[in-house]
Amino acid sequence: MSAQRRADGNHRVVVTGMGAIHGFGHGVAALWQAVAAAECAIAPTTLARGNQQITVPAARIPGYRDRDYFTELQVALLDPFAQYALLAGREAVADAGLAGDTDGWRDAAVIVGNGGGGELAREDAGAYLFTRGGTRVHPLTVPRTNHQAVVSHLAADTQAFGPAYVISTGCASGTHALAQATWMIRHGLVNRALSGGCEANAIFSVACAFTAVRTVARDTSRPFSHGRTGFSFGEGAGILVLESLEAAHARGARIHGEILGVGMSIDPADQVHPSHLGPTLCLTRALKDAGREPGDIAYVNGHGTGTVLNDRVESAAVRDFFGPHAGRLALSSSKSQLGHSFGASGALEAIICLKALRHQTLPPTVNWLGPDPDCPLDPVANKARSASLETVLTQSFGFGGVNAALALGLGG
Amino acid sequence: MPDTEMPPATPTRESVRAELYALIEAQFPRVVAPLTDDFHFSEGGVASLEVMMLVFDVEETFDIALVDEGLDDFETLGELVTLVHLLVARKGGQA
Repeated sequence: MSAQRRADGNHRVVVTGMGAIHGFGHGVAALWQAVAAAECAIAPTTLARGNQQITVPAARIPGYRDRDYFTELQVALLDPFAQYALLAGREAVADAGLAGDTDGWRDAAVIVGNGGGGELAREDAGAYLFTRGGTRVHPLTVPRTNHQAVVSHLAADTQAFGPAYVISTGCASGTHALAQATWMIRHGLVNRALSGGCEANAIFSVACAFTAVRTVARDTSRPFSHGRTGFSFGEGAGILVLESLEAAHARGARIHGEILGVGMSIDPADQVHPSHLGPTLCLTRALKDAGREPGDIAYVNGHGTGTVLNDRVESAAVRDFFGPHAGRLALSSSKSQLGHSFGASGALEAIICLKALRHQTLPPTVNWLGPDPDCPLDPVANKARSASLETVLTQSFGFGGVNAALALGLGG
Repeated sequence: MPDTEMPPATPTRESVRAELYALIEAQFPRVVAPLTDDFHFSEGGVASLEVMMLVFDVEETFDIALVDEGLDDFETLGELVTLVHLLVARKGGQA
């Protein structure tokens, strides 16, 4: 039987439940099926507010209707970013076999990443205020826009009374949240956590903002490819149940995988242009924390936004970090399939990595047109393929230079 | 025939009541009909946040300002009818 504790004596942290809602629909099974089949959820999407509109590439949740899942009051209280987290959370909790186990959740942590909070509610309030004049806005504007609404509602669902907060580091939020929850379990503060990320960003004002900063693709996401022009919007949530290995074994839980290592860094240089050093330090720390060597890694699930600059810098950082071994590893982007779901992306990509480990399959980069000299690593172009995977990395970079990476293994 | 338009009629208490009843029936379909002026919001299972939403919709519907006037303190439907009628009548210059 494998060791119950890490070499440093701290708890090992395993994933015992997963839930997801995304551009392919609702559920982890639908997510992995579409990823492995190299499908793409991105399509030209027109987002409107009044008589204004903008068309951007986006992967929205197909056929989503809030009233299929929530009461009228819940819909009034819950911006879509929180709705998505609740749906993914319910799936994760059921998947872990912990639905209704209020005693088991009482001391658990709820740590969720989110970039923009209630963007739709904020846009609603702004539109109402500035088109009508006066000072009145909807009385539920504050609870709908609050980032922390998501952990409050997840805690209410599970009856978790432990530490609960939101981490907001833009596009790295989901990865940072999983890292934080991992630390809390590793060091014995809690033995269970509900953690991940969520985002509802396919909204008129958000699309205008990111178009203004010239990061949105003209057609679709083509990470690491010749002819790439930017990212596509994505929305959804990925929520995971994390437990100490001892707690999971004690209740005979099924284990999806293990969070072996956590790495973080910041680029104290530019607010929007990633640097080389930050991601390299992030990978270095994640692997050291996992007790692995670069040669142990066969796959990196990249941040891979599809912007010219991100993919160039990320490729260079991975290549330089891995040295000669870089020629033997794959670096693909799930954002080519799901769009960029900001605060949700790191959690959805962690789920994809755990499924990749389970199925010994490399997730692809779709929409790949051909090689770019700036992105010389193997992108797993346009088709998933079998591989021998023992430890994989996933990394996320946020505006402001905030970086986070996780090293994942099968565990158990 | 007079050549000036008649001023709009100020809603009566009955017409205000009818409009409020319709608003509440639409917003809270789970509230068991028939509604009466004795309907007590909290005892009837209407949450405080729902009451806030109702006040917002009432203000929109009647173009009045219950909150700004400090008149959003009510417990029963009859009390709300009275408050709304007061403000509507005042707006029409008859109170």
